[in-house]
Amino acid sequence: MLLLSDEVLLMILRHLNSSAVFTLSRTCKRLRNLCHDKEFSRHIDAPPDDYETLDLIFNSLLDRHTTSLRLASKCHGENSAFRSSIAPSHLAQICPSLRPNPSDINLTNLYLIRQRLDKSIFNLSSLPPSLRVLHLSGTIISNVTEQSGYFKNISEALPNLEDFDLTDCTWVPSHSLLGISKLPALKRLSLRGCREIGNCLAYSSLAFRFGFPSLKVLDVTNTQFGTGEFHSISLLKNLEELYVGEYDLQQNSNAIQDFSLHELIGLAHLQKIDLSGQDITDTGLNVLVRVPSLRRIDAHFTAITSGAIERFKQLRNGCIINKNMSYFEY
Amino acid sequence: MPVVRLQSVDGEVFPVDVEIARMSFAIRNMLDDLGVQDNDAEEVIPLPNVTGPILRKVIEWCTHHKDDPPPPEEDDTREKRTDDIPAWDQEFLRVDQAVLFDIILAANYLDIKGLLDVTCKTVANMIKGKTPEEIRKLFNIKNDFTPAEEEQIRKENEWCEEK
Repeated sequence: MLLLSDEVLLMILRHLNSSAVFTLSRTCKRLRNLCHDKEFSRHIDAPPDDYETLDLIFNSLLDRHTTSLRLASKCHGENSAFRSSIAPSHLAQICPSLRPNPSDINLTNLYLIRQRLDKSIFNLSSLPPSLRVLHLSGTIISNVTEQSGYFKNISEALPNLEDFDLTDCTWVPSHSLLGISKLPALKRLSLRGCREIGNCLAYSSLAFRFGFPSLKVLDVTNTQFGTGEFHSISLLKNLEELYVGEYDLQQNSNAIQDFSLHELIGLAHLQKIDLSGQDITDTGLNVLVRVPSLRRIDAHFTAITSGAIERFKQLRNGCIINKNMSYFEY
Repeated sequence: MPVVRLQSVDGEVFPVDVEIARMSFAIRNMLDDLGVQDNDAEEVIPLPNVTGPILRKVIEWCTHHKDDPPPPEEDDTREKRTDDIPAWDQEFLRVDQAVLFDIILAANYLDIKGLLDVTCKTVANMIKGKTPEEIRKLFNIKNDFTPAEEEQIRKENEWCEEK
């Protein structure tokens, strides 16, 4: 059997359940390495309804050498887009407080994509403090309400978190911004498609005014983030990329207008901005001339004219402006 | 029915219906790349990695499965079932271990997904339910762990079986 290539052996492994893989890993070094192969365990892309694979991952293969764990469920159309998955006992395996030896877990990257979890099972505060990247795109955490304070203690629990992705987590209440804004190391935050975000000006202004000490990339595309929030954005001095486009043209009730862009002038490091779908005209573009580090502007579905773009390019020839999508194409 | 000639590494030539030969994606690509027309019956395709007896088995399998629907597109969902091997295939794969592994190598080289799948499942079934020592014996695998590694494995084992 050992004459077979690793590639073929891995194909055979896929047909084995967790206990058989575990047994096989105890036969010799080569098979052991294969069973612990990077492809197979360190970076796992498993269908979440597959309990045997999950058991294998969480009970046998997840160890102190595992730094990245990715579980993504596939999208099967609108109605069955989310498939449930992880049992509480699996999650306990990544929670240091629940393991026999807490130093056994050195996870830095955790991706739970399009899962369905309950807040009582998936508690952010019990995740390993070593986490630097946490992506929950498309994942639904049920029973989270304004009152539940789901994100409340996250800053103490995850002091090293740099990249937090909540894309399409429509359940995230706007109040959450307060908890998230206290994360001391946070560099990138995606709230794309979180429609609740921006529906309460008080929360967002507080968060942006006093929080986000290290934030460099903010993605609030397709949210209610609007003119009011823009006022406090100017306080995020380290900001390099800001995505505030609105691509659902039915939705925009809180549109950003030209005058708001004055807030950006003080952002010395801002390099990229997406203002697509907002109420921006040539006047706004003239304001952006004064944002010193800009290299790229996306302004699809705006009223900016090609004449103004030409003038802008003469003043700022290092900066690209993209405005090529038309209403019809999108 | 147009025919292509497949030549094994030991020089044996097998005339095969084009439709059957094209079940191998490797041969399909070769035919397409060479622009072989249906009437170029004299064209010989050398297969330097496959011996005559194994190629005969592979052609036999392909002939039996020529009318199967195309295998479903590869996706992330890992097929875990191994109890769904058709009876004909089970009988067909009742061969020496060495032959079975040669068929796997050939199926991989020739890129015949259905055959690769069913042979991998067969090996998986041989592994299931055995102890590490039985697996070593069955496949003639040498235990090359150092004592420290053995000890580590023993501990892991304990930890897992506590569950």
